Amino acid sequence: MENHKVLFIGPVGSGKTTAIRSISDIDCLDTEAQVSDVTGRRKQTTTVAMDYGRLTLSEESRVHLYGTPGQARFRFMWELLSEEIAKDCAGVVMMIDNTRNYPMRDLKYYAREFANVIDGKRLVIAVTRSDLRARPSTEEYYGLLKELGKEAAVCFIDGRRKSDLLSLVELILEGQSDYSEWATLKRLAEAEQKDMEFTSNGAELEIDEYQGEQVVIKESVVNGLLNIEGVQGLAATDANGDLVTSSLEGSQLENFIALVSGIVQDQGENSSLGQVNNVVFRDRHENNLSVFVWEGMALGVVSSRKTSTRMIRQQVNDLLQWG
Amino acid sequence: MLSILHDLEAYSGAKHSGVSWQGNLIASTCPADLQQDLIRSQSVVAQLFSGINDCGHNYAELHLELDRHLLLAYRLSDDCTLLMLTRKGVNMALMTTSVRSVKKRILDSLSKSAELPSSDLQPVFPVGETGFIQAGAVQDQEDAAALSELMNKLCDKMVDLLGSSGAISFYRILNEWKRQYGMNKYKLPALLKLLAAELAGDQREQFLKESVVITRELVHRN
Repeated sequence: MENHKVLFIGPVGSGKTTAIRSISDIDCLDTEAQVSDVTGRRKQTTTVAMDYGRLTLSEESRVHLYGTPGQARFRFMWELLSEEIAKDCAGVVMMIDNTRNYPMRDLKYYAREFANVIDGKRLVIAVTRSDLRARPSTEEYYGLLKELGKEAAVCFIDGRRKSDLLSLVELILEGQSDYSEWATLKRLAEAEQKDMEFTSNGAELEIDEYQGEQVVIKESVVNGLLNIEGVQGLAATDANGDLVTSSLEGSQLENFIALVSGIVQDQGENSSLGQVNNVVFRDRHENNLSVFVWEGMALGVVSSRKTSTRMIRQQVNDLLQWG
Repeated sequence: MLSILHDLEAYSGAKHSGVSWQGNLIASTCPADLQQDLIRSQSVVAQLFSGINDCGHNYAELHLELDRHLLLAYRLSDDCTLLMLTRKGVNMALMTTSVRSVKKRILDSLSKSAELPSSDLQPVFPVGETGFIQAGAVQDQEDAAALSELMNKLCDKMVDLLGSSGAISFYRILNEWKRQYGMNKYKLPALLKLLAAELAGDQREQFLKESVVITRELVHRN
């Protein structure tokens, strides 16, 4: 009996759970929980531990499908899946939601975070929701992969279509499995799907036109952040260190937030430890200060010391992608 | 100091750690290829702490989320910052508790070192300085022989002062020193500093007085 493993990774809402459910021929193990944060703008539940499904190709061949949680706060499961459970997987499917504001940043981020399992394995980039927004295009994704030095196939798919998912698994297992009846399997799946409707409602998702990967701190992001419990104020500065927006009292902290961006940029350019993405200041007697930096821009968020800075980081990332 | 850092890593699960004192990285468990990066990072950390202090805040803890790691910095005193390089997603409460458990040992060790004559004791990691002895040249072979002789003398002195446990302490510290610098004659002050930290009061003074004299002979020999 051939047993293969495929690992599904990618940001929250990109369709990992849906994909595994679509292709699995057993009842999936999923660990969905009600969302209580910004993710609620897109969906009611999210994976908090893992998804598991199984695809039986033949009596001799089975594929075990594992899905990671999308949110970085469940990183412990990323480690457990990529370093233990699915360490020996045949390949990785990275699902990317094309309607997020910066999908290529997602690709870079997950390629870096899962480098330990991706390196030396087959990688497929599965782009979802391209019916709602066509860009970034296939060429743009291939351009980025080349820049990152990663070899991967890029497929625009509908995560609800079993036939699309079968094509991904076929790509992963090519040369690693003796199974050869993919065409028959896909034909059967297409027949099953024939009477199903796969429509997407873009109006509910507030999708903007693709503006490239340069981060823009929109008013909706600022308002969204200020509404998070525990957030007491924020300030954002542009690449020149000029103030873009602020709800902080006094200019000293605003200037410091701009300064952080300049200081940490030097660290990234000169160090093999890599770029600094986020700086957090903490103290028993002070509010927390989290500063996020992107190519010279900075966003500083002051939050109560009782509020988790990891939660703030997750919310900032989700708001930037969906705001 | 290195043994304290190794203990810290055992408690906390941190990959590497280091201590910065008065703006210099004076001890680190980083492998050679990360050493310069940690030196740069500690300078970034110092700038960030200094900048936020100028704004009237007094933060004691700083987290830098890097591409693949997390760099944690804890201010143990005005002069001393503890750095820890960890994987992302670590348990912060565990980190803080681990730091608290070694804070006193680190500060005690530094206060002992601070009593040493400053002219003889330089920062452990002047940026950009390497100065490792390369095998091959006649002068270097002479240096190696002289270093070996000096090590025997220093070990004897430790045994004179501490009894047989002095030899154990000596070789433990010698190994830590070699791991950081190799057998580098320009880094001998750091070795003396580490050895002296094992001694107390009069014993430390006596050890320094004698060992500085014999070490100077080697360092200043052309």
